[in-house]
Amino acid sequence: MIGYRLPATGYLRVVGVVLLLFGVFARAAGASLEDAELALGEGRYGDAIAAFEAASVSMPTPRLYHGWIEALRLTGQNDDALECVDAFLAKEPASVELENVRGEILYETGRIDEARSAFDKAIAGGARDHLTAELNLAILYRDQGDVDEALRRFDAFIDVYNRSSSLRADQLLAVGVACWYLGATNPQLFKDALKALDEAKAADPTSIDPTIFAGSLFLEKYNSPDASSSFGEALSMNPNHPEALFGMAQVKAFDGSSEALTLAEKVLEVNPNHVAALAFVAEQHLGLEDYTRARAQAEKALEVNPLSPDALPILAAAELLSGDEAGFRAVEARALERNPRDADFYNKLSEIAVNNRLYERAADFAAKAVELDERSWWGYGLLGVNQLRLGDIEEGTKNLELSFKGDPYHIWNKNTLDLLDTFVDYETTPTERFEIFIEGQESDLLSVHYASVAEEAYEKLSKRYQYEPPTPIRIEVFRSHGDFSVRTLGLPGLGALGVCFGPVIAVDSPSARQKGAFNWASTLWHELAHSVTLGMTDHKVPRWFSEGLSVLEERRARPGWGDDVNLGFLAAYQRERLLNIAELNNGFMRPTYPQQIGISYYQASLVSELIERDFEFQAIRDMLAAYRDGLSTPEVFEKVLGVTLDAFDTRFDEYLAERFDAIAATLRLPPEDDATPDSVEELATRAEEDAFDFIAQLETGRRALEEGDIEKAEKLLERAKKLFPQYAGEGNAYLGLAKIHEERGDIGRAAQELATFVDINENHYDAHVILSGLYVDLDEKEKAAEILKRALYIYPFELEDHRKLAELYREVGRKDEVIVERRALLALTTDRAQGLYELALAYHEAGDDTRARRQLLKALELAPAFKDGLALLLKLSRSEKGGGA
Amino acid sequence: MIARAFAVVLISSLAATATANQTYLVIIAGLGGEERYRERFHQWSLAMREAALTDAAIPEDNVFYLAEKVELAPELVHAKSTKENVIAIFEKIQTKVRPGDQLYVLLIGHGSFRSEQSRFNLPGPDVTAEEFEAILKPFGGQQIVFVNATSASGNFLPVLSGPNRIVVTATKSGYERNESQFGQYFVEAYSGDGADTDKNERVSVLEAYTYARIRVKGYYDEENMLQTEHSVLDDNGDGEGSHEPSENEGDVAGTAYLMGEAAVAEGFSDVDLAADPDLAKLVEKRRELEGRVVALRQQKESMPEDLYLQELERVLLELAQVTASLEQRRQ
Repeated sequence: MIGYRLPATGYLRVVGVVLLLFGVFARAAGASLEDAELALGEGRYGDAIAAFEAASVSMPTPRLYHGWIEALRLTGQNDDALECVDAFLAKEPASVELENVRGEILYETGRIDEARSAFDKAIAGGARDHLTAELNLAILYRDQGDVDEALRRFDAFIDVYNRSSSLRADQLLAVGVACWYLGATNPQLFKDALKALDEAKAADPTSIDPTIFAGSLFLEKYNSPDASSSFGEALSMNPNHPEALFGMAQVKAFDGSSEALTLAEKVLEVNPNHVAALAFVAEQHLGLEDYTRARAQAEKALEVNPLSPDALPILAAAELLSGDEAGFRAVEARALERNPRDADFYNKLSEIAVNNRLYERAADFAAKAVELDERSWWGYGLLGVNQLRLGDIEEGTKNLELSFKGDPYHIWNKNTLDLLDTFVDYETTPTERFEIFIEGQESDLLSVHYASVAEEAYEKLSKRYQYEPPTPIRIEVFRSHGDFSVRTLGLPGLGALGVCFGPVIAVDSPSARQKGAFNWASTLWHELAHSVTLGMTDHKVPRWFSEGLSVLEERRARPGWGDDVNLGFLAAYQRERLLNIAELNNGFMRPTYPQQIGISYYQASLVSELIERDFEFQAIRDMLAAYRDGLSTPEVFEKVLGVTLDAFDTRFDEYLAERFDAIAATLRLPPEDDATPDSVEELATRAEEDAFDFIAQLETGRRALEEGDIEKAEKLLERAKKLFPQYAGEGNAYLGLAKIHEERGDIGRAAQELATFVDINENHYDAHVILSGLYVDLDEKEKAAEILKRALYIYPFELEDHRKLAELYREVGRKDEVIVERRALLALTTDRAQGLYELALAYHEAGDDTRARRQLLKALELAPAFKDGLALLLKLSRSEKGGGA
Repeated sequence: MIARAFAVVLISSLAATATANQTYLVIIAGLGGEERYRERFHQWSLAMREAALTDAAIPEDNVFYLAEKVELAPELVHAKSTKENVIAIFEKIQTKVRPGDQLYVLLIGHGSFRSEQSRFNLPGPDVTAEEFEAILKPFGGQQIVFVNATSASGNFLPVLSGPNRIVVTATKSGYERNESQFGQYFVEAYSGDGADTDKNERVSVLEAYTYARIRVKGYYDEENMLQTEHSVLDDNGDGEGSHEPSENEGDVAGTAYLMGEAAVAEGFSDVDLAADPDLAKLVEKRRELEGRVVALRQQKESMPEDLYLQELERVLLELAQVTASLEQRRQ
C-alpha cells in the first residue's frame, strides 16, 4: 500500500509554477537568471544556487528568490531557504509574495503554528500564490484532525474552478490537489483531480509539478504503469528531481522491484533531508527485520521534521517490533498529539504489521484507523483483508465492501471481493483440528487427503515443538493459482505455492499447476510448520528462521520432501554469494539474482539443521521462545546458543565446507560472466580427460544414452552419480540409469535407481508411478503402494492411480487405506453407482457393514438394476441374519 | 434425474411388451481426407457396428455402414458414402421400418460450415442439414436418434430437432471447426465399459452422450489445450441443445437404447418366457420392483429419511432376491 501523503510533498511542487507567475520579470532579469533557472530545471542545483545568489545582488525579485529557495529546498537546505526568505523580506518588508513558501518550509520542518501564520499572511495580503496558500491551509487543517473544516475549504476550490475559465497553471494545480483530497468523499472527484492536473500541464508544459502529482495520484490508485510513465516523463525533464525520483522509487516498491531502494538512496544523495525518503529507507529496514537500523533512520527523518507523518509510524513500528511497547506508546502519543484523527498513522502501522506477518495486530491497527476516520477507505480495506487472513470471512467481506464503495479504484480489494463471490462454490470439511475449504468440484477428493496430511503434520509438529497452534486452522485450497494469489496478495502473480497467516493457510490446489510442478502435501506440511513457529513466537520469528525450519520439517516428514542441494546452490556457494545470517532475510525479501530466493530457503534449512545437530532440538525451541520475548537475532544466538552471530557464521561456513566442498569442486564452473554454453564436443573432451568433472560426465552420458551407446552412457552416468549423488534435477543420472537397467530387463536395479531418485526428488510424478509399477513386477506390493501414495502427493487426479492403489492396499491387507482410496475414486469417477458400490465393498471387507450398507443403498438408489450391488446387499443381509460379517 | 429414471421403467415395460420394435442403425463415415482420418473413422464405425450387433443384438440386416472407401472392408461396407448412396440407403430402410421402430443415424467424419449452412463432408457433394431433414421426413412414425459427431456440426441441431427425435451434435455451433474428438468417445460409450452408469446393462443415448462429453473435456484437460468443441443434445424438440442436459432435456435420451434382442426381457427370449410362466413372473416382478424403487425415489423429499431408507432397503432386498433367482435360472 502506498501511503502517499500530499502535504509532505505537495508544497514543494508548486514552486515551478510560480516561476511562470513572475515571467513578466524574466525579460528584465538578464541572462544570469535564465542560466540559474535553466540549471534548476535541469537538476544542476549547485550551479543554480550559485547563479541565483550571484544574480540576487543586482535583481532581488520575488521570482529570483523563489527559484533560489526552490533550489535550496530541493537539496534539503531548509535553514538556508528560510534565511533566503528573510533576506528578501529585509529588502521588501511589505511583500507577502514569499509567505506561502515560508509556510511550506516551516510546515515541512514541523513548525505548524508558524506555518499557519505564514499562510494566513499570504492569503490576507493577496499574494499571487494565495490560492496555493489556501490549499496549504486546508491541508494543515486536515493534518491537524479538523477534517470537516478541511473538506469545506477543499470544496471551495470547485467553485474557484467553475467560476473561472482562465485559471493559471498554479491555480489549476491547486484545484487538482483539492479534488484529490475531496476524492475521499466522492471517488468520482479523483477523475476531476486528474483533469485539473492535465489542464495545469497544458497551461504550462514546462512545469514538472502536474506530471509528478499525476504520477502520485495514479500510484495512489494502484495504477503502477501510468504512475511509472508520469514519473518517467518528469525525470526526463529533470533527472535529479527528488520528488520524481522518490515517486519512481515508490512505483518500484509497489512492483516489488529491488530498484526501489537504489532510487530512494539516489533521492537522499540529492536531498539528504528528504523526510519521506528517509522514512522509506527506514521501512525497508523494518521489512528486513533490522529494527535498530530502522529506528535510527526514522529518527534521522524526525530530526528534519519531528512531526513527519511518514516517519512517525515507522519509528512506532520499530519500537513495537523490537518489543518496546512503552516506546511504541510514546511515539503513538506524539503522532496523535499532532493529529488526533490520524487514521493513516494506524493504517501505515497496519501495513507494516502485515509485512511482518502480525495479522492480528494489523487488523487491530486498521480498526483504530476506521474508528478515527469513518472515511478511511484504506483502513476498511486493511481491516477487511486482515480479518479474512484471520479467518473471519463474514466481517472481512463486509469491511472490504465498505472500502471498495469508498475507493472503487482499489484493484486488490476488487479482486478479493470477486474471489469472495466465488466462495459459494466452495465446501468446508471440518476435521479434528482443521477446516478444509475447497472448491466443490475438488472437495470430495482432496479434503480426505488434505485432512490426513494436515492431522498427521499437526500431531508430529506439535509434539516436536511442544506447542499446539490454536485450532481450528482453516486451510483454503485454490484450483486457480490466480485465485490463490489474489487471496494472498490481492493481485495475481505471486510465485509461492502456499502462504500461512497463522490461523489460515492458503495453498494452490494440485490442479492449479502443471502435473509435477509441486508436491501439495509437502507444501501443506511446510505451511503448517509456519503455523507452529509463528504461533510460538507471537509471529515474531524472523522470516529466514521460519522458512528454514519449515523446509527442515518437510525433510523430516517424508523421503524426498524439502529442498535439496542443487547446482544453483553449489554455484552460489562456490562463488561466495551465500549471505551471512544477519543478511539472510535479504535473500527472501530483496533478492539480487534470480535463484536467490530458492537458495535462501535451502541455506536457511541448513542453518536450522546445524543448530539441531550441534545444540539439539531444544535449542530451536528456546530460540523461538527468545524471539517471542522480543530478542533480536544476535541476542537470540548469544542467549540460547552462547555464540555471537559472527562466530556462528564461521561455524556454518565450516559446516558448508564439510558438506559441499568435495561436490562443489567437481562442478568446474565457468567464470560468472561467461554465458556461452559448452559445446557437445568440449564436454565430451572434458568427460574423457577429467573423470571428476560432474557436468561433463552427466551431459556426455545423457547424450550417449540418446545415441544408443548404452555401455558408454552407463559408465559416464555412474560416474556423474558418484560425483554428485544428491543431484536429482534436470537430466540427472538416475533416470538414465533406470532406463538402461529396465531395457536390459534388470527391473531390480532399475527400481533401485528410481527409488534413490524419488527419495531426493519429491515432484517427479512419472518416476513415482513407474517405480510403483516396477515394485508390483518385483512382487513388493507394500513398497509399490507406498510409492504410488507418494505419487498422489504430487497429482491426485488420476483415477487409475487410486484404483491401483486401492487394489494394492487390498492385497496387502491395509483395509482402512482401501476405504480412503475408494472414497477418492468415488470423487473422481463419473460412474457414481460403481464408485459407491466399491466403497461399500471396501467397508464390508474392513468389517464395517453399517457404512457398507449406507453406501450400497446410495448406489442402488441410483442404479436399482445393478446386479453386483444387489448381490452384495443380499450378502450383507444374510450375514446380518447369520450374525457374521 | 428422478423423472428420467422413472421413464426408464416405462420404456423398459414398453420394450418388454412391444418386442417387435427394432432399431435400424445407419453409420456413415464421411470423407477422411487423409489416410489417418480415413482409418480412424473406419475403426470407430466398425466399433459401433460391432457393439450394435453383439451387445444390443441388433440383427445384421438392420445395420448399415457407408464408408469413404468400400475397399476398407468390402464384406461390411454397404456402399461408398456418397450423397446418392446416403439417400438410397434411407429410401431402402423406409420400406422396412414399422411404427415404433427406431432409426439411429451416426455421422462420423469432418463437417464444415459455410454461408450459414452446415455440411457433412462426403466423397463428392456434401449433404447439408436441410437435406438430411428432407431425407428423414418420411420417418415420422419412428423415433429418430441422429448423432452428428463431426466438427462444425452444431447447426444440424436446430434444423433436425423435432418431436420424437433425439439430436446430438459434437459442437454447439458451426463455428467450432477444429477436429472433433467426440465421435471416438461416443462410440467408446457403446463399445467399452463405463458408460452404463445406471447398471441396467444397456447404454442409453443420454449415457453415451454424457460419457463422451466428460471424456472430451478430459481429453482437452489432459492435453492442456483449450476445449474447442462443446457437444449438445436436444430431445424435447425445442431446437435448443443442452451441453449438460438437466431438467428439461435428457428424459427421452435417457430411455432410448439400441433396440435389439438383448434389450428385450432381460436377456430372455420370447420363447423362453412363453415356455416358462414362472420365469416370466420373475421378470415381471423384477420390473415391478425396479419401478417401486423409482417411485420411492420420487417421494424421497417428502418422507422422513429413516423411513425412506428403511423402505428403500426393503424393496431393494426383495429386488436382490428376485435378481438372484433370475441369475440362477439364466445359468
